[in-house]
Amino acid sequence: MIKYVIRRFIQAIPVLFLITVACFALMHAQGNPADRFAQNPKITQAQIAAFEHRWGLNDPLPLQYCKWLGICGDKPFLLNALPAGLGGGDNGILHGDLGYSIFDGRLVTDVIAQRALPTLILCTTAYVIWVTVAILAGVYAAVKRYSLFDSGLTIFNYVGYSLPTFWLGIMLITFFAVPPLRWFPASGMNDVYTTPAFGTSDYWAFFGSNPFFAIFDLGRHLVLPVLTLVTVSIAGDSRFVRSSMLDSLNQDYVKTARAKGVPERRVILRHALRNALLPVITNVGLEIPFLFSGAIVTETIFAWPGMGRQFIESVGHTDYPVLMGILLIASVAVVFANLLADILYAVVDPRVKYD
Amino acid sequence: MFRRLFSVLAIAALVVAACSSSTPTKKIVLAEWQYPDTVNPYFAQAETDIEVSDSMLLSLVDVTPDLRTVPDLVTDVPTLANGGVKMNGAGMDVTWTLKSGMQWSDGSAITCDDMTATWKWIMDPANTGLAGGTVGWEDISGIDGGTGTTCVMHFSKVYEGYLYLVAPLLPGKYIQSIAVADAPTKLYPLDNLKSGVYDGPYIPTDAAADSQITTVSNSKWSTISGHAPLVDQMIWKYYADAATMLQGYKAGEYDIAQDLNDADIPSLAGIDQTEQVIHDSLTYELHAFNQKSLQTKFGADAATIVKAVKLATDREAIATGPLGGNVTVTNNFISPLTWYYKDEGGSTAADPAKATALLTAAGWTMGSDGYLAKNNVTLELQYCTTTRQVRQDTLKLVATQLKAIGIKADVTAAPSGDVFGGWNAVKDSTACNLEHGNFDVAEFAYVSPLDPLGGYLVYSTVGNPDTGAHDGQNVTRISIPALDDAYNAVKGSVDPTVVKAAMFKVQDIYVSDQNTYELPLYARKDVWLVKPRVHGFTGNPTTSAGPWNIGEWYVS
Repeated sequence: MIKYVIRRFIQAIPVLFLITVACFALMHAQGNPADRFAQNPKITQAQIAAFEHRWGLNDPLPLQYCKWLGICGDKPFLLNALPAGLGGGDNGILHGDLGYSIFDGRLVTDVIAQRALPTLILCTTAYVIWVTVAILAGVYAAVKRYSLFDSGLTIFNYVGYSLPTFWLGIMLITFFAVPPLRWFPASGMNDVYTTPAFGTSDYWAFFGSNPFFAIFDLGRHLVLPVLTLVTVSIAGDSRFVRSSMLDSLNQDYVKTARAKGVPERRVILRHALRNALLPVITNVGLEIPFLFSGAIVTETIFAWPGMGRQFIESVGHTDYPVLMGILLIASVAVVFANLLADILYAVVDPRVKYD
Repeated sequence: MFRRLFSVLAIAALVVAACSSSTPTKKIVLAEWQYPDTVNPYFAQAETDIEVSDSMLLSLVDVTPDLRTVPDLVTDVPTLANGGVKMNGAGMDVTWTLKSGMQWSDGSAITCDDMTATWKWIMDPANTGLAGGTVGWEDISGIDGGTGTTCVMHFSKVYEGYLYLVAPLLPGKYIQSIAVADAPTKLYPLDNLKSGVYDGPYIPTDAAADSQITTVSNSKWSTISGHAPLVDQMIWKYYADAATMLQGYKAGEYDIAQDLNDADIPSLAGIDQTEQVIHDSLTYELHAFNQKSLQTKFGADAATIVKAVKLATDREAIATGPLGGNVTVTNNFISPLTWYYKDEGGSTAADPAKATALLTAAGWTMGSDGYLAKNNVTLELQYCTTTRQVRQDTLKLVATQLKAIGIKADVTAAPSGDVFGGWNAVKDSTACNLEHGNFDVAEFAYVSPLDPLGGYLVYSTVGNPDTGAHDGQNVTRISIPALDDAYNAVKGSVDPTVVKAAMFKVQDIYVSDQNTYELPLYARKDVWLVKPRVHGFTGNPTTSAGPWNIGEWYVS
């Protein structure tokens, strides 16, 4: 298993390389960051040239990518890729340097770090709820086939899966956030009247002295964005779990278990569900990228200050270093999630062996 | 099991829903739909940047909602009449008397040295990305005053816009502590606003990107204004767009919604009228006629065709149609609020019959395709605008109006970057680019200039982008000697009487038959939403907008 994991990590490197090349090329196709000065006649050509020189924007694209990678830099080509202690350079992702934001000059790692926690909170909460509810609902619908719950879930599957995320988010705000209900907040991560801005030192000080209130406030703000994110996923996956569970429940070993007098709950959870989860694990692992992409829309609708919203802003600013940083992290997360799915597969199904 | 679980969840939901936010104390929360790119107005290219910085950094003078210039950091507004401005050969000397005893937020005194430092900082060659460039500052030859409060600014030539130049005053010691080349990223950095030095009523304590900026009252502001700010905290909350911001207002998440305009008025349904503050904006929508392309196409008939188009364009129908009656049709590009406005009167009604008569008299005849033609040339105009939906709807309506009198209007919507891109920023052939003149008629918006000189590069011959450094804004390529003379008179004088007379001439030309370059459509509206607990809010049509008097707001 360990050899398999190491092999998969090594295999991931060329995949990530190809992803970054494709993303770099696509991003530069949208224009030059200096174009934001184009509409201002008071900014001189000399100033624009200085800006482009400062950020290396007048280098050829392959050179810009090479520098971002860390293979090119102050040191000779390829030598630069070595660690700084061995005479190599200190720029590029090979040296752990994601560069500086063209837009505000901050380290890309700082920009992303500031936004990572909000996205992690949103996506992790959504993921846990989505997987839990999808599995529970799918299993119950399969066990109670043709019941009212099963019919209701089927309707929910069709309707929920068809809903565009952005529309759903706006509708949830319209119904639950504005009068007359005003049950949940419409945006943000905190109540600005009572709680400091999330992520600031004042917030953590407030959290330390009022942990329950802070968690409760955050929880209230999570409800609508999480609902927006999970609805479509639950609609799709619960149907999938139901089908998988029905297949499993019709297997001979389940009939045998029942014939042997095994309690029904044990038949469902220990025999049928475990086998039904095999394809579900694969599916859930593959859907993690959609969680990130859904978060981009959701964070925009709910003014959630996460990586998704940073991504949209960086697109608007043509801030390549930040965009590449976010894409790299997302790509690593997807690759890792797929690997985790494969490992879980082996854990759940003892027939699966990796060597 | 599931029934029990469901019951628990339902009870929890009810508890959560029942809990509402605490009653806010002495805090005001303002909402914007765009997080600022900077709080340094010298780098600001967006209105949202200027609004937040206005609460933190002050200018020498301020402009009231009725466009009067009033002192802010100075004791009085220097003019020729009060001796604050003295002509000095080809140049002039402006005396700024700072109020005595004023302090920055770090406790240091506000003196003439700060003015000198601001000037040198602007003019430093390493300073890139200044939104207003060095216009005006480059005419300053020196500033006297040192550590005192009576500052004399020496101009090597007359600069009419001197009043609004120092906007804002920057703290000398602070800006000198950071290399000028690093200013765009290290001066007032958004991730550490607390490190800056300010003189406004509120100073930032923390900022969460894309979420909120928290400011607290600046105790030193009383040395400038005479009293402490009336609220403890002013919090800026940021949304991703205007629509979600409006939802947030309805949800009660903040007190004041900013940066809304006439296009948002239909979305205000359900919000109490007493909470809506709506003013005429300085921004007006217009059609610009490219003299060069029209003369190339139609020769001597170009002027007649423009007159006919202006007569046939029913602006009242535009105002009531795509704009839903939320704007005011105007005949003058100068706002009635400005001190040099002249009421030229005139009708805003269309007259298609007169338009037809003009074209018939010029020899244009109706073809079998329903369009006018002359010498095998169809009367066809290329209309350009941005992708903003209301503009596209407007031009579709105009195309219908022109078709009724036989003029063919082809409407093209292009991205803003293509339309407004600078000469070297886009290709020569970029469709609808104003600088390169790739249009016959273009619809966009201008801001009616508070400073009369604001129209100089827009309407005078020297502003033709085809010539010189290609940085002129005279996209219509108009060249009228009388207009040039009037603007030169404005440029060369600080005497309000002379300036006013010159601007009257400019307006006379604008409403006369000589105006074949522009058709003003309507004045837009500035809209704010203000909760009843907030008092003192008035709104302001200038770039200072709502927060212009933020130090005077209070809550009940």
